[in-house]
Amino acid sequence: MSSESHPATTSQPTGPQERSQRAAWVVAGNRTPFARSGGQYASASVQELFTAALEGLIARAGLAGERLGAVAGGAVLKQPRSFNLVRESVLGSALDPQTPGIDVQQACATGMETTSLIANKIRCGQIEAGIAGGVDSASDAPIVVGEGLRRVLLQLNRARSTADKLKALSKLRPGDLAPVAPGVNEPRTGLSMGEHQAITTAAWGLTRQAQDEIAEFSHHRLAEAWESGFFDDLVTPFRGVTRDTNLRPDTSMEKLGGLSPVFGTSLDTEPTMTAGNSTPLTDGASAVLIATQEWAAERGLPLLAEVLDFETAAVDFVDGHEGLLMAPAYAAPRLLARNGLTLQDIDLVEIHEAFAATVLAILAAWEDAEFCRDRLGLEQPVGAVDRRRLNVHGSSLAAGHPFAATGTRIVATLAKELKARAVAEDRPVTGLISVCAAGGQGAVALLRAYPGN
Amino acid sequence: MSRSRPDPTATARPGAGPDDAYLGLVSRGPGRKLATSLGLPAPVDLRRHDPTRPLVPGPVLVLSRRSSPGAGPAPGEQDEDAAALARHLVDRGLEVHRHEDEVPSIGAVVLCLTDLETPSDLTGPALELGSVLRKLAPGGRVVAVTRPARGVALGAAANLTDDTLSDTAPEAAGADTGETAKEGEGTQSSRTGAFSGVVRNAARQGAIAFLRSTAQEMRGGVTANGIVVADGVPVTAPSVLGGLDFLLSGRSAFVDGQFLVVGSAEGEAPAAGGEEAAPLDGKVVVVTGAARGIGEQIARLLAAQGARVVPVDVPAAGQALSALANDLTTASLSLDVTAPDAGTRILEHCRSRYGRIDGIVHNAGITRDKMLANMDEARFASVLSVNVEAPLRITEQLLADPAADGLRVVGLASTSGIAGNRGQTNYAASKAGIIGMVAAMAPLLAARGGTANAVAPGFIETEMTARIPLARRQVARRLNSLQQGGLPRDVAEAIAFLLSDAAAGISGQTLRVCGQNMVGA
Amino acid sequence: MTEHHDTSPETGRQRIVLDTAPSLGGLYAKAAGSTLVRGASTGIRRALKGAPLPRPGKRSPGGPDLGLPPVELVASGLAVDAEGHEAFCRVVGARPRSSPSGRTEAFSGYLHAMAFPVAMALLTRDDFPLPTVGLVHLANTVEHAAPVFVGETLEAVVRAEDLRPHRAGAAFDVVVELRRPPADGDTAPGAPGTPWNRPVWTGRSVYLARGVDVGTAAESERPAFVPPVPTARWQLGSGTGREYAAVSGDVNPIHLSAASARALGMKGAIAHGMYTASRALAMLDAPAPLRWEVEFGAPLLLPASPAVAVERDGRGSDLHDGTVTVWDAKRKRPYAVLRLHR
Repeated sequence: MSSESHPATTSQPTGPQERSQRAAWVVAGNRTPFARSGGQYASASVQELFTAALEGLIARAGLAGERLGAVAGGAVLKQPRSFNLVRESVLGSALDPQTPGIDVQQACATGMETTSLIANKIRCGQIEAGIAGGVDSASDAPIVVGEGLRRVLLQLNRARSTADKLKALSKLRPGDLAPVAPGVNEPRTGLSMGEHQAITTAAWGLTRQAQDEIAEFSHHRLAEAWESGFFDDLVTPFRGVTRDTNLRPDTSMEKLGGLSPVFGTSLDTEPTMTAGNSTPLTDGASAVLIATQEWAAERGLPLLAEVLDFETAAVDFVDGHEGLLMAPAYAAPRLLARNGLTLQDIDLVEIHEAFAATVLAILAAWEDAEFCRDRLGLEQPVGAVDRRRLNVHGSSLAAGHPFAATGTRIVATLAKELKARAVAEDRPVTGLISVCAAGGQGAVALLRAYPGN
Repeated sequence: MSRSRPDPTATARPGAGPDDAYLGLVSRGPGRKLATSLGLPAPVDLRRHDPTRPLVPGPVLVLSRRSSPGAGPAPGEQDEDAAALARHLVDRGLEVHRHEDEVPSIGAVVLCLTDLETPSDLTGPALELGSVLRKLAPGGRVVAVTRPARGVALGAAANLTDDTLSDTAPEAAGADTGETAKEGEGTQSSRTGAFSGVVRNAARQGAIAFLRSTAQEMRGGVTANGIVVADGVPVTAPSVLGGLDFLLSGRSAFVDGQFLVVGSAEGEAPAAGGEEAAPLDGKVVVVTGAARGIGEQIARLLAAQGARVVPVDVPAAGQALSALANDLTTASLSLDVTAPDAGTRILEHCRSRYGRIDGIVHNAGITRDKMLANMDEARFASVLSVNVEAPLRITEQLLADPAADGLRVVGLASTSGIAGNRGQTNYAASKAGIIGMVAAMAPLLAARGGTANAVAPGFIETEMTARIPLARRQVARRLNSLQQGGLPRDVAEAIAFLLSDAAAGISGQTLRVCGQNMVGA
Repeated sequence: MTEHHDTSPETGRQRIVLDTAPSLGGLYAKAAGSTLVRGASTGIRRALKGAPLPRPGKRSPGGPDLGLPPVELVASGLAVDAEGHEAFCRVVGARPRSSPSGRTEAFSGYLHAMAFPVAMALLTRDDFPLPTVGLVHLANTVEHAAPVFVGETLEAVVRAEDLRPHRAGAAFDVVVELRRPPADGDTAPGAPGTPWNRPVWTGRSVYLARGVDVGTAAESERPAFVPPVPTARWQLGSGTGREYAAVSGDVNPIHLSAASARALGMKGAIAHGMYTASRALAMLDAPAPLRWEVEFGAPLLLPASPAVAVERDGRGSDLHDGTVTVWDAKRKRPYAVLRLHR
């Protein structure tokens, strides 16, 4: 296994490799370009999107006709008829139709959780290879009937006699017929994610300047990655879209500075969160192929990065005790400690940019002695992240954020970059991914690449 | 799940281009009579490869100087080349005759002209061919087998190196031609040895234009092509026999008035029996620009012939490329061929996935047409960059690796690259560059057991040519001996042949797939 | 409805026992009608603008006696109906609690709604001196002394008391007590037929009759409202009033639609105070016994998306003090502040 073929350096503990029977490796990744909702993918269903991501991955890895152990995916916004979204997508793909599909949903961390699920199945020896992914389309969000109509329809369904049916229908009121748009607000608080983040932003005193800098950096890095062909083997065009449509390569502090705040406007503090330093609703799909070393070797696929370990945290945000999107700040230290690592051992850090302020709040929390002591129970602060190691190819502010697709977008991007650095520097290179999610949840993962294959 | 191999014919309607309504109208029935009586072009559905049908649509007549009436083989004289060719055809399971009066209908005529010594030697076989033309079935074939001459007449195919030409005494040639030399001396005893080479060259050159003219007179989808066998190479060389199979078959439907030049006896003779089902079995072949158009058809056909195709296209074409790769149950490779490391990445992909690379088809190409007076740098440079600089750089990078030993290179030239084309100064330059590239690359590759050739398509019915204005398109289509446009599949068939083991003796050549286009002929 | 008259030995009030549960629709009609009958002014519209007769400062000697009637209304047989309770909980977002015995504890807000018709019956009596229509609900205090279970039948005793000056008119309390009927073997401490036990639920609603002059109120500085950090936001559609009316029975037209509310002089439909209170209470999700009080501020004009802040020191049985503030985030005006103690 990996610990044999790639002996870790003395400072890099081999914990997870010792624990697991065998290693799970990211060997390929693919996604559609991400498009702002209501745009080019407006008429594409989540199933079409996810199938497209699968098809590109299958082609890139040459998996047509292969039976994989499992494909795990999911969407946050899903039509009831898409209950078997992943399996249906598999059936529409070039994979052997005997490949099972698993639908998973953990809000914006769905892609992280599917990665964990497939990696764990591999590590446990249940499967040799599988695909993890996620998809979302705010353009294909379910529109549901109101509660009144729903009850009448259910009653109508149960009614046997015409009289009963008429009785059921007689309860219908004109207002019941209005469709109900999908709710992306937190069910328990009714606050949008942006409003929640605005409260956290104010609590940490994060400045507009700092947030806009994160946004500008994200756009510029992502644009550079596209220009350099970095995404040539990570993205497959869909419906004529060849690049992420949210990307603004020419954005600047000046342009970002001209935008009006959209969140936190009713708070006492000055609002700082704009459309420029927040992610827009986005449509897209992503997928990664995870396999054992043997399986990959048989097919000549590269071992991009080993999936080392995962951790998920959840915070009590309902009463405002903690920020909705702060769970990764709790999850990452636990993950690092379990693997005998510190933040300083991490070569590349990917923090999902739900909002620029989310990244800044997590970074600030890790540097804050009080937070680390009182909330994390740590004697020392987790520490600072060298910005040169953070989101080196941009993140969600520039690429967009189709909720469930973001996790595997980051896994694929980071795995490729880790591999390149491991080869260039001829040493194992470790990366940390942090993705915040609705419901006060946060998923983090450790990936490690080695110079050899 | 086992996916059946895609049928390359599935997307190509036999005989008709995507929108050639004229062909549909006049290729049969009353429309045909009308067109004929008006003297309009009367194209027919071409005979294309169909595994359920025989190699040729009738018996094959093998003619040679010595089989001709009045010039029959003198007693005791051997007609070895013609006999060898006939034997090969019999091995193919064909009905073979040496005399036209034996059969009422003929599928193909093989004209063995390897022993021409003086221009008038052509008279006998030429007239005999003329006398049987009416017996040729629709879709029939005329294939002449000749020896090379020093001159311009081979046109784009005249890439023989000096040592494949024998322009002085046949004695200079190898032992295989010894008998011919003796025989030549016997018949032209009045001439000096040196001048007999001059006479022979004139005779051989004459055969070239004779055949081209014949091709232009053919009707009913009959094509006339030649195989030029270098001095010192026997007509039993694998590439002569393989080339003969190709030219007789439906695979060469849109190749007309052309010469395959066989420069060496390299290669593996095609096995006896019917046509090989998977001549490219197991070969790892890269096809650039594979996502659509001709490239897609090339990839599909190569896969159908057993190749493990590596379809390559720009990332922006990824969706179509993925669909193709999944259809062919292979792995795609998204990259821009103009990337500085494109060749390295192709090599890496092939090596990691298959441990080898056997061939590459440099199909990726663009047009940026503009009259020279209106040409800008971006248009000119990008066409050169994609169409010729990229194939040069990629091949150079491939050849830097031992894995490229035995590499078979096929470039995509164009008739524009031969004759030039108004509004296409950039494109013509790039395509002529391909012709030059394969010609000069051939010796480099020969040293490593590989070949480099090009195909030069004429008017091919593609999405690209469909954008040509209708009137111009109709004219362009008819400007060839077959009076119609070719199909992407026709180009693919020629490429598949050039990649096959049977074509290992053909290198440095540019094979036109143009229906004997008047342009640059 | 018929009434039986009696005198309470404990309060000295005249006991009026209702033997059928009053209907709120009828009571509202009565309330509106009585306003007209009294010829108070130009009718409903005027009356609802907060000008009950006699107008302040214009009270003529020998005007109506503003003393509250010394009566208490008694209604027994109020059932905590399972379906009604479930519907109510769904609308206000309350989570029905199961007791260890498997029974469902009734939501405190529902008990208010259950007894509300009895209170309305009192307020719309002919001898009640203040107009019902136009009363402003200022506050509510609930002592929920013991769990009440769905399926139980309770007795309600309602009285009005403590008429007092308010800076905007006259305030008074309506007190509702809910008791369990004696079980077999219980010995009634008082006269036969009287409640024997202390109330399981006592609600004191403070109402304001605007413009009614019963003296000068002591000036009290209302502390300026400082909005807390929001933890939630409610999305209240224009149908919120109708939804709550359907499950509470409180069909006061000022809640039902913009048109009906405007007909009664409001700017538009406003949310029921007890809807706001119940929804706030539901957010704290605390089991009985508990005590809660709610103070209402600006009327919550529908539709609205008020800011909400939940502050609490624990959850469930560990919750001892909690506050829910509901306010207008833009104007920074409170709609309601609910405090809970356990």
